[in-house]
Amino acid sequence: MAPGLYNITPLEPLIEAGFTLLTPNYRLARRIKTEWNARRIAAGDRVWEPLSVQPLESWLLERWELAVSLDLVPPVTPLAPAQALELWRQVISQQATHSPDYHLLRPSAAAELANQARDTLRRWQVNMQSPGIRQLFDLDRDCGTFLHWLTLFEQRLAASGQCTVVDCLAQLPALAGQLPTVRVALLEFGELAPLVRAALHAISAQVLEIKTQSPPGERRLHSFSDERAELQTVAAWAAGLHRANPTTTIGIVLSDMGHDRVALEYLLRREFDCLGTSYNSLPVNFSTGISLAQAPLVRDALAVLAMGLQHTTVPGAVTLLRSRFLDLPDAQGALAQHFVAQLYRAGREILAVSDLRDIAANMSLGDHQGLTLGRHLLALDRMKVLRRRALPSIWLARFSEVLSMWGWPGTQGLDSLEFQQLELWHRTLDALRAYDAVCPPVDFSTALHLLRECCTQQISQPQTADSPVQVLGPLEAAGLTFEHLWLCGMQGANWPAATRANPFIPVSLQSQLHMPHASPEREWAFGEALLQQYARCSRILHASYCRHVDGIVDLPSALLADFIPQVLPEPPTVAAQWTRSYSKSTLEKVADHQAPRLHQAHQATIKGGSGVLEDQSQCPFRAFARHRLGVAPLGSFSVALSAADRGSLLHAALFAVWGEIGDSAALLALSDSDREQTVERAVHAALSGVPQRRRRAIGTAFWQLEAQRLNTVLHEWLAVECQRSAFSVVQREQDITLQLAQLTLVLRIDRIDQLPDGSRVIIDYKSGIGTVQDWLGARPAKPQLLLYSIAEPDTAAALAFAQVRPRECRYVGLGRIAAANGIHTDISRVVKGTMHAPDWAALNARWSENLERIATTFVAGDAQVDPLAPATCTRCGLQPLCRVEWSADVSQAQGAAQ
Amino acid sequence: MNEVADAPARAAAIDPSLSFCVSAPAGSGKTELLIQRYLCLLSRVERPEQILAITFTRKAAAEMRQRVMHALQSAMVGDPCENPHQQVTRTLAQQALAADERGSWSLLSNIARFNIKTIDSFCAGLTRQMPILSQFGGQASVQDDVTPLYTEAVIELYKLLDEEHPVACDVAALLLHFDNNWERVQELLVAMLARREQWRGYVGVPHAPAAAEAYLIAAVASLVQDELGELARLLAPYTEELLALLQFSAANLSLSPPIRFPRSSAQDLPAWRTLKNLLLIKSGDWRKAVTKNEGFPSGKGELQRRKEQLLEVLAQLQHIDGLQERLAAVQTLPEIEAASVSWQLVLHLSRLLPTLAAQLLLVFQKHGVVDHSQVAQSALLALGDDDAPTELALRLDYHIEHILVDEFQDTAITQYELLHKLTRGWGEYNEDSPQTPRTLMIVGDGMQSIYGFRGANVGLFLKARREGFNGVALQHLELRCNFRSDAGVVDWINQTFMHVFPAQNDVQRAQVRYSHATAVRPAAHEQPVEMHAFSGEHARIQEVEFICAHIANVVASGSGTLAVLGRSRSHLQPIIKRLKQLQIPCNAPDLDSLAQSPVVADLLTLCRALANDADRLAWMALLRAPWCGLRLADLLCVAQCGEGPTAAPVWSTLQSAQLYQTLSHDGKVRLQHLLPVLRQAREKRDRLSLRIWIEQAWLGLGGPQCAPDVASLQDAESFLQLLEQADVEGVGFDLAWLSRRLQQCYMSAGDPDSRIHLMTLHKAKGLEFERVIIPQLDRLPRGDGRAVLLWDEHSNTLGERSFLLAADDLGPADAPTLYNYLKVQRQQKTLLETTRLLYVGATRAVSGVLLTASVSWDEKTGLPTAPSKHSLLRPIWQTFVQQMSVHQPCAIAVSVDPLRSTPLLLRLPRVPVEAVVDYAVSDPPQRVGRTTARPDSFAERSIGTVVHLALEELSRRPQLPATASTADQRRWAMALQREGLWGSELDTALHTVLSAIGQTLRANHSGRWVLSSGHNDAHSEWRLTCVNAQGNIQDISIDRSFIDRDTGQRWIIDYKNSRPASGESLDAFAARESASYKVQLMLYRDAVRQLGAEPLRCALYFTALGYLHVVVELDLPATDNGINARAQ
Ligand code: SF4
Repeated sequence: MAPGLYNITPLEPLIEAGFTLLTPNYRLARRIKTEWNARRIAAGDRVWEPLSVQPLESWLLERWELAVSLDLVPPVTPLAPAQALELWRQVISQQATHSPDYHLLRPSAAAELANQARDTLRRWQVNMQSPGIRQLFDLDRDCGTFLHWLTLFEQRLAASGQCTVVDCLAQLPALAGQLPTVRVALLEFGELAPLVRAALHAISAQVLEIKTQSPPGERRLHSFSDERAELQTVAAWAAGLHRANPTTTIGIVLSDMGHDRVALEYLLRREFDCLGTSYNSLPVNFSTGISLAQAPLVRDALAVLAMGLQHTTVPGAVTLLRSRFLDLPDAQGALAQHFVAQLYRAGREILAVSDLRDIAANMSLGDHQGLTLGRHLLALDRMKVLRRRALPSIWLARFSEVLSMWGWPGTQGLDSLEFQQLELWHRTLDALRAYDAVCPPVDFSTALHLLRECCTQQISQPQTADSPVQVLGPLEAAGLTFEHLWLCGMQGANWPAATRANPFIPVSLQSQLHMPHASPEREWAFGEALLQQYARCSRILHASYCRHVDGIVDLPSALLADFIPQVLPEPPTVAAQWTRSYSKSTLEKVADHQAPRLHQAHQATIKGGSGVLEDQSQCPFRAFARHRLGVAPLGSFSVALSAADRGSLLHAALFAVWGEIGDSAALLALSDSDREQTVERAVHAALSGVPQRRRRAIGTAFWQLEAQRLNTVLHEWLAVECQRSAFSVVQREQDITLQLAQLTLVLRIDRIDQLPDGSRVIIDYKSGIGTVQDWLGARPAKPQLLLYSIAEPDTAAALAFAQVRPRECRYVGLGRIAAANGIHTDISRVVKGTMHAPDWAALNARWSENLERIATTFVAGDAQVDPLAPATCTRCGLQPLCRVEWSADVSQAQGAAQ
Repeated sequence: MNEVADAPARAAAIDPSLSFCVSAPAGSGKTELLIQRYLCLLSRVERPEQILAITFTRKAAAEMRQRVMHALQSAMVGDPCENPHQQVTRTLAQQALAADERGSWSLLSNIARFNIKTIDSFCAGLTRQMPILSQFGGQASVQDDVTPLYTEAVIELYKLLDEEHPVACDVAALLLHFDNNWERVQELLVAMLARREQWRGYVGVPHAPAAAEAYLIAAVASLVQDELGELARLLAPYTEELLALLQFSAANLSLSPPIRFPRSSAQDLPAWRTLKNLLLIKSGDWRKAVTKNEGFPSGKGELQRRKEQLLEVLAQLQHIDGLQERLAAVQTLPEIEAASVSWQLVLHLSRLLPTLAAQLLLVFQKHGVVDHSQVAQSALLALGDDDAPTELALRLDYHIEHILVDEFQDTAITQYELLHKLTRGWGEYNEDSPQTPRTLMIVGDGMQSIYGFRGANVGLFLKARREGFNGVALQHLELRCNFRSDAGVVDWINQTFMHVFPAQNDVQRAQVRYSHATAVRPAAHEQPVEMHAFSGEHARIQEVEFICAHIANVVASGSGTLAVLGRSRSHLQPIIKRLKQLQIPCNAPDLDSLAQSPVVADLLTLCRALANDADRLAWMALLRAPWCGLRLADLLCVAQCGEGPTAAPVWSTLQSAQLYQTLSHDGKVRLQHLLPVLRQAREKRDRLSLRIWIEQAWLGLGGPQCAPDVASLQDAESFLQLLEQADVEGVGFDLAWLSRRLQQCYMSAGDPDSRIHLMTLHKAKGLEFERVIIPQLDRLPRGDGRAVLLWDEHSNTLGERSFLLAADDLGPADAPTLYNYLKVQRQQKTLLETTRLLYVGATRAVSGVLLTASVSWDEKTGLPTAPSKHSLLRPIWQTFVQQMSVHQPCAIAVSVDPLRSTPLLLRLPRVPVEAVVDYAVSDPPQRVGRTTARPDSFAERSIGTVVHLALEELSRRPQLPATASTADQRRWAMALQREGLWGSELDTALHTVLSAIGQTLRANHSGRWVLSSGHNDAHSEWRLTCVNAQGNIQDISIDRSFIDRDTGQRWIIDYKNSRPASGESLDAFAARESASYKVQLMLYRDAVRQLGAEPLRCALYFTALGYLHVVVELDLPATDNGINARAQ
């Protein structure tokens, strides 16, 4: 049998002699215990007393508890680290409110540093009462501020009869001779803080230090072009060794676990062939997992609870709908699709939960009335108790109630990992209780924040059987023994680490007392010791680094000077399976731009009026996709109102203006103040057409400004109208129905003016730039007005865009009568080069032919991907479906490949 | 090799007792110089950290660290030196090694001790070391992608509109000015935030609105005064003559004639404009003829004389350098009209910007992240102001003694201020300790300043050179030798750029004059610089063809690198495309956004569909993508399946039987393949890591086979790695995040080992290639339109800096507004920078430069027409026209515009060859019996724990007390607290515990007997490890066990704090409980059996009742065989 992850043979005499074994971490303690158990079983035992082995700190704490139970020290409650941090945060924020000149960007980071500083100071037995020491702190503002905080912190602790864990340890040195003494053996320890050493010696009869001694094995150094290549090689290496001998012990140490774990896990899965079917049988243990808050089960629970806040986002709501852990049976149905589309159409990313609730609860489609989501939100809203402050422990119950109301964790069943996460969630909830010790009653959002913090801090790690392959962080690996150990990321820049002195302790004090991370010399010694330990504990030790990090040349750690460089080939950057699969590929090319003819029965379902023809003219595929497949891109979000919505407002205001004025004579007759009032009324009318919810969502200021803007532009526009000769407005926003190549189109014309001679001017309001070019050519880009001239042949004397834009108000049009400045009558000149039409009548005839033809192609199912101009695609958004950008390139490359 | 002409300057620059500003043009070997000085300084300091070297990029810092290290290592092993230059470095390195030895620095093993950093990382270090002073509180993570945070800050600003905040009316006014277009204003405010280091000193957070207004007025006044003052200075010799001419002209135009020459104050601006109009024509060029319109009617005598006099003066004035621009600038020199739209806008902005900056801080606070600019600002803050400087040495534990700064021409104001703060008191210090002075060396090349658009200000370089820092004067050294380029190239550059750069340096206008370079390498080619002009309809295509042919030649013949340097990415794309077609491998990193790759687009479609059932576009696109390739007719079937008011979601349609009645056979086959993959993907949602989830679905669909070329598999890999990154950052399946990141990633770079490189001119800075091609010189960069906000810094003649800011007032271009003034200024700076950009490009070359452009000819004159003044070609136009080879336009068969041809549907031919991927099936989901509530309450569990603890404590006492002491009670209360019980919950729980203990201590025959110390071999909380019935190892803990002295029986007792349900009899309760704990007790019993031969009895002790219940059915008689030895 291959040696295990720790060789306990040398420890046997100590165990026999009744020593308590102390380790630097739980991992090693567990490992030694496992080895011990294996030996007992091998010896045929069925029952035995557990081996006395545990991490040093927890043993010391147990001794302290023993002292408490023997009434040697007064009972106090040591705060868990999370609560100690919370207390620091409170102290800091309390200070911040007193001195307005500093608001820290990251108070919680300051809390962590302060907590750490206090811990270090105690462990290095610095007497903070000594005036000399206090003076040293007061020399600079950072340490001075900390000193001040520290005083407050101690006061808070004293007032509530609490302490921190390190305070408990600090009581131990004084207990020499009072506790039942034991003999202890320290396994694989580096340096000990003075306090720990003092405590240990005070309460133990004998302290032995044991380090694994095995002859240093081979050491090899590898370098790679980049991180990916490094991880990839390591994964392949581990898999190869494992395949050759499944019991051999392999360790992989990641310098930056947080950053590289995900990538390495993927690569290991790929190498061990555990991506698909055997996803759950990867023979690798990872020393870390993901934050519980990220676990889908918990993530969704937190998302549900977040619905108790004021606001949410559209993507957030969509995430809820796809959750597997909630009772939302209709989340995949047509109504939900409708609901989501509506949220996107509203165009605002952030929305009030109350609005979300209204929409979800009141939405209907056929006889499907209201989404379950809406019902849950309503129930949530009815829980008035959520608006009351309470202690964290009370919030736990409330949160659980909310979750069960939503059917969390669902009815679909959980897999074993999710089940473990559920257990962990329960434990985390219990941990939240401890905040009662330091928090006053809090409101909903604070309680939720605390819960989220707890979940973020909590690491969820799949409980798996012990595997021969271990992936560990640099400190976690220390002390374990491996056949093969590989240290990744041994970059010159990180090993030894740059000094990271705690900014709250004077640097001079830190280096004088040899506090951790305070000087380059210390970091070097630390790194060197660690590396020696790795070397002692492995038969073959590999180390690797990248020659480039983010494109910047880097060197190997100087700690690796005695490693023997070896050259490994760079792995391919793309999985071999992909390349194989690609090489078998032959894509077929199919001409497919002809859809079935639009069926008589379906013609009624085509909506969109002139939009159908406009789309068909600009790009037949677009028309097909939008009007026959019913596809539209989900809208993008805007901070206020989308351009289209603002355009509608303008239309509404102009509609109201002319409803009141009626004709040019009336316009000219208006006094300034009358005109003023007319415009004001029109703006008011337009704005009051906007639904309440919309108005609320954007805020009143926007609407006030929008009113002012509309007001200004309407006045500018009326000034343009005043220039015209007599006219009267005979139609506003009137629908007319037009039959074109079997299509029934309903057109809405913004406005029709009648001139004294009875001829008509057809007007389309535009808040953008209008140009007559949009009417010309075989495929007019904006055929709306042209359609009118077909619908009512011979009545239109001119077509015009009314360009209603601040500072750019004008008419732009064509006609046989120059009904306004900007309406051109020299038809032949304007259309030169694009169309053959000597006069207005001829132009109308061309238009009629063109539109007829375009309508026919639509009905016939022509769906060519054929945008009128490259710019046509810019605002279309259908690229993923029409594939206009890639088809050409693809065909070329494939052609070349074949 | 030619002699090193500037050797004295190089030698001087190493002198460790002096401070320098070194001008180091392209190829002058400045890095080596920096290293030499660094090594030299090492032997003068106590700790290596005391020398701070600041570089522009992380790459440069790494390179410098390594070169220093290398120099030390070579000195250590004694590698031979090749030239005298190396010998200098060697000697210095040896001295440094000696210092290393003396100070036990172990430099060779600790590269981190070299204090060689970028400004960003230096600042980050300061903020880390001073969390309170920098107001960071602790290390904040610095993000590159901060635009979303800027946006959030603007949205927060908008929210103030509804809150009657003092700046609400300013925000409203600004919005209204821009047509209430919130998006647009948001964009421009976001842009302001990105550049806030330039304005926050003036209108940043702590500024009061009224002060801002006063400040701006003063700044404008000082600006006008300076400009006019300079003008007056230039015109001083002509004052009288001009006054006479002005009077003459006024008289002829029937205007009141001026009585004196205009002074340099804003009131005289109209008079200055009159003068300007007399001397310049509207376009800003010198007047060539005068007429009666200017007040000089034709005629004889006086009239004639005056006219000639004016023309004479004009001829002389034209030779005054810079006069023309300054005169022209008079037109737009701002006049403050309090009521004008433009001035009001400036005021609104100056009032709202502080609030905006404050909102950004809140946003940073909320997210716990910051941008680089914030780090720099906080670092400055931490260093304290001049009145209350921070004692940095105390924080660092050492003094910074020497500073070296590279690339100083690209310095922005923050860096400048930082240097100022770091060198505070140096002047006095040096006076006191002339033997060991503190020194500064800044190195830069004004001619290579090309980062104006990022806030770099070459004026600061000139200013530093002129003024030094805090009493430390900088000696100016100029390097002239060019070690990089052949003499031919250097000569061409000298000749060409000499006249293109301005003749004088000018701090305010960011003007840098040209300094002549001396080649060290001899000339190697006859015609090192070639210029090619193309014209006609297909000029661009011809140009690309020519360049690619040239590249092909280079590839075929010989060695050496070649770089094509484009002004922007889009200028390079046609060349890359053509090279691809010609199958010439090239290295072109970071040119195409990853989102452009078809493979990535399809992956994104897959993600979108899986993320959102309602994303109909994504779902349809999924069906149309190559892996499925549904025809239009079949798509239509999917869209129209099922009758309802709106179409059903695609996913539910795909599963309806009805659909399959209408589909074509081909469609059915395709969907049958697609469906199981998607079904599994949906089933596995949130059960696999993000990457594996998507990748498996993609493989299942046949993703790799749909790739257009093998290189795009790399794009897929990059995309999937982005998903890994999403997991690392904990953002989850967030499509918005993904799309944003995609925009910032680039497609696979081609062949990284190729000798042919394509990159932008900006990227090429600091690099060197054998040959350089700069194409499309005539093309303009994509314009950023009319800038809505403009701002600039102004230094007055006294060197005081001030800040000017203006918004587009939408007024006429020649109105005397601050906006127009700044616009002109910015244009001029940009033009200067364009010239420098071309200089940077040309100086990359060792032996050859190839310049190409499309040129058009004037039909009338037959001469080539000058290109736009914004083009790279314009500055060297004269040279280009003289030296260019003209290529005749030729008729090329224009390749068909891809947008015009109808793209074909590409798809996998049939059911893909590979089997559908199989997901893990081995772990069927379990049903979870219970939901969120746990079986027993938390308080009960805690009480149980503490009762156990109390009983254990009591059992260890030699003498069992009659009641619990107060000390006991305090301890147990504390234990309950540790479990997490506080307040009233604690009181209730403590009560329960005490009553249980009370019961026990009163119960003589049960409780007291159980706890008695009078038993043999007693254990409390007896921990054992055993092998259970299933053969697994299990740890157990037996609450209480002992051998009754009287009976010799071993008791195994488990404590329970449950109580009978209401109405339940004690017997029934006990029976129920023993039933539920029987298995557990049996496990204990069987384990204990291994340890001894005594008869065994099991019991439950109900603490709340003080009742011991013997579970008689578990009694086990004594045994005398098969007993293990006692556990040790
Ligand atoms: S993106 Fe362009 S090609 Fe595609 S549908 Fe839209 S307009 Fe047509």
